[in-house]
Amino acid sequence: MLTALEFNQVPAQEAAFRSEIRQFLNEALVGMPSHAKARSWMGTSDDFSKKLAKQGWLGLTIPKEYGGSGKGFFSRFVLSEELLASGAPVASHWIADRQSGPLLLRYGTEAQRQFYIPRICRGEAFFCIGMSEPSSGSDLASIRSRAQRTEAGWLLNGSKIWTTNAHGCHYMIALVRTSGETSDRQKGLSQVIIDLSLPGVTVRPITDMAGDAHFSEVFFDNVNLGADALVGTEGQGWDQVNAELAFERSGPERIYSSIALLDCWIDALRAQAIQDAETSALVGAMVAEMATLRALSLAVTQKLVDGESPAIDASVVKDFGTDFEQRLISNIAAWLGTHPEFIASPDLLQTLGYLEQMGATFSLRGGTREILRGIIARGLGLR
Amino acid sequence: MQNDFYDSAERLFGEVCTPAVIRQIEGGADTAHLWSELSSVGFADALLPETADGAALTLTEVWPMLFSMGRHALPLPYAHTLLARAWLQQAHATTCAQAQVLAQGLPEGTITFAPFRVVAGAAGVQAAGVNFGLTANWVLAQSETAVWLLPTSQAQRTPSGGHGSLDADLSWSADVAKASLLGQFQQPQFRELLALSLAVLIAGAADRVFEMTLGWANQREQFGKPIGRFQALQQQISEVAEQVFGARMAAEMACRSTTWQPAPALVALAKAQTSQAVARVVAVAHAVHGAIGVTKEFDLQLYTRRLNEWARAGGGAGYWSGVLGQQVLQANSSALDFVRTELFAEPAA
Repeated sequence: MLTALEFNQVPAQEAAFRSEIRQFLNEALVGMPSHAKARSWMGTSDDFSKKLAKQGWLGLTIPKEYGGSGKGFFSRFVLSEELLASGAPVASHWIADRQSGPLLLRYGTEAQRQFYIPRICRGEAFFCIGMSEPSSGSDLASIRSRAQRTEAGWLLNGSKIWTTNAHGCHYMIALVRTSGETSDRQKGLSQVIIDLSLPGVTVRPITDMAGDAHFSEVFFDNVNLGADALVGTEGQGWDQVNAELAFERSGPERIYSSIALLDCWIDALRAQAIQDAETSALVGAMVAEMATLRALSLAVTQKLVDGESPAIDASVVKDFGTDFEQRLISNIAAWLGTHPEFIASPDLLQTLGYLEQMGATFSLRGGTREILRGIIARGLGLR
Repeated sequence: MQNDFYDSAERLFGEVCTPAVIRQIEGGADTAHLWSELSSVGFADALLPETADGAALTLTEVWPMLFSMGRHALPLPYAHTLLARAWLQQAHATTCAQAQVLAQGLPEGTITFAPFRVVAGAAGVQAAGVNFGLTANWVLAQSETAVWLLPTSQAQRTPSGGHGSLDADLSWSADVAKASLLGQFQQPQFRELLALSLAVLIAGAADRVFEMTLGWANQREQFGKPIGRFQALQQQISEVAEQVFGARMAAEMACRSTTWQPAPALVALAKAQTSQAVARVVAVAHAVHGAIGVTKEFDLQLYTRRLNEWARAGGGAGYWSGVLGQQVLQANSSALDFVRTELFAEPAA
């Protein structure tokens, strides 16, 4: 059930940590143009991820015995917020850090934890998530990729698509069928770890309309996996995935995807001394909504601290947040159209161009708007 | 909101401010009985210091009560009165010590604010479109630097809003105005206090309207099942849930204070965010309820009419977004740093 989200501050002791991150980012990202920042958590740099690892900032909430920093959810919120708002290229390690590490910590065997998690924390193991398939988008339970038991482990066949950064990753954690038929829906699904360098695995990047390749298609042709490829309990993949999605949906990722454009535009308004009532009102409306979303996201973080699994609350924040991220783009585009004399720099227009083109994915990735609203409706008792 | 204040406020308002009472007062019934029941528990002095026999609570502490006032659409400016009394107490102790109208102490009854559309001249004072002007006992009004505490019992009152509205045009003679003058103030005193009152009331009323909408979606059956089972309505109701959560959070943020006074930037945020939510919340609530929702007998309209009025009263989303936007444009920080330092009181990074 959906309950009220109460205001809470970022704890005061996180201030020093934020300053430390800010100083690091100011040096590491000096001279980065806005249109590169707009790639945000779709921007890739193995080198940058390794630098963050050296700082001890991968696996921030992972216990020290597994190579993490053992910090809390609010430290993680601050780090994520600083990385996203500065447009740091975090895609290489983002999924491993946000989802795969915590997932293995929760469901993995001790051997799996010992093998993978320290590598994640060192920036040596990048993960992607294999969920969607060509015939299974929002209807995730209809997936057909199948891992069959063999004497040595599992034999994997099938394919995944729209996998973020698969071509830059070492491992995939995939949701696959291990028993039953497609008609069995959620039953018989399991999560497996796939080493993407194994024979039979083909990764094909998909070039998007903005000229980048953030997503990939991944094919499995008689891929032999060891018995230890299974994550968690056989047949419990659906529940495990949903617990994982609560992590994915609860962070500040869903507020700041368009912030490079907002900052770039506001800087230009300041430089050209534009302060008319209509422009001020648009700036204020966007900032008010961003602040409200930040408070909602912090409230979800507090629920994580309290040991709750705020899956529905996280869906509220994600859907609200992606709507904000998309409206920010269309509002600024419309404002530019109303002000043809405005001096828009190439960087501003390239930032806008990128976000206009890829902004459509903001309400697709990690669960579409319609799926999320269905989850909220269930939380409200309508289904 | 599990809080003793909230629970007792919900209980009290639920008992004494029923839809029937709202209808009577909109029909012109006297408000004295409702006010005596509401004020009997002493909420009105919640924000006053102990030296003035108040409860010395902070705005943060009374926030749940204010939210509950919105949920019950109290037909009196109760939230306004709490803030007005705190303002008067402070002004009396400082600038307005000699004011005749405060010679007997703080006034009895409810107080509303008139920070806009107040005109003073030889003929007296006129305040147009005063929020709760029909039911308030007093009006704290400002025109340029002059500030008055004006008794509505001595005003000419004309209803100024649509059907059922409690807003009014008020005018006072020169003699009453003279006796009601509190003093001169260089800055506008009541814009934020009115905006905060309304932002919190909107958040509360939106919560109530959402609750009713959800209840109706689960109860009303068409095509052989509750209409809430249809995806077309689920999608809209989920979207409204987000807006209601956002409005509530924005209002709660504006009540973050260790004193009775709100932070002006947070008031601008809250009035902007709550007001912009209203159109969608009201539209979906009525869409889900169908034709029954616009009937006199059905309670939904008691709350949606008020939401529409409150969204534009005292400056709507455009006005307060503009106030906040001016501050952003005059600052020299990134959007995130503005939000962190000015709206969340976090230190600079």
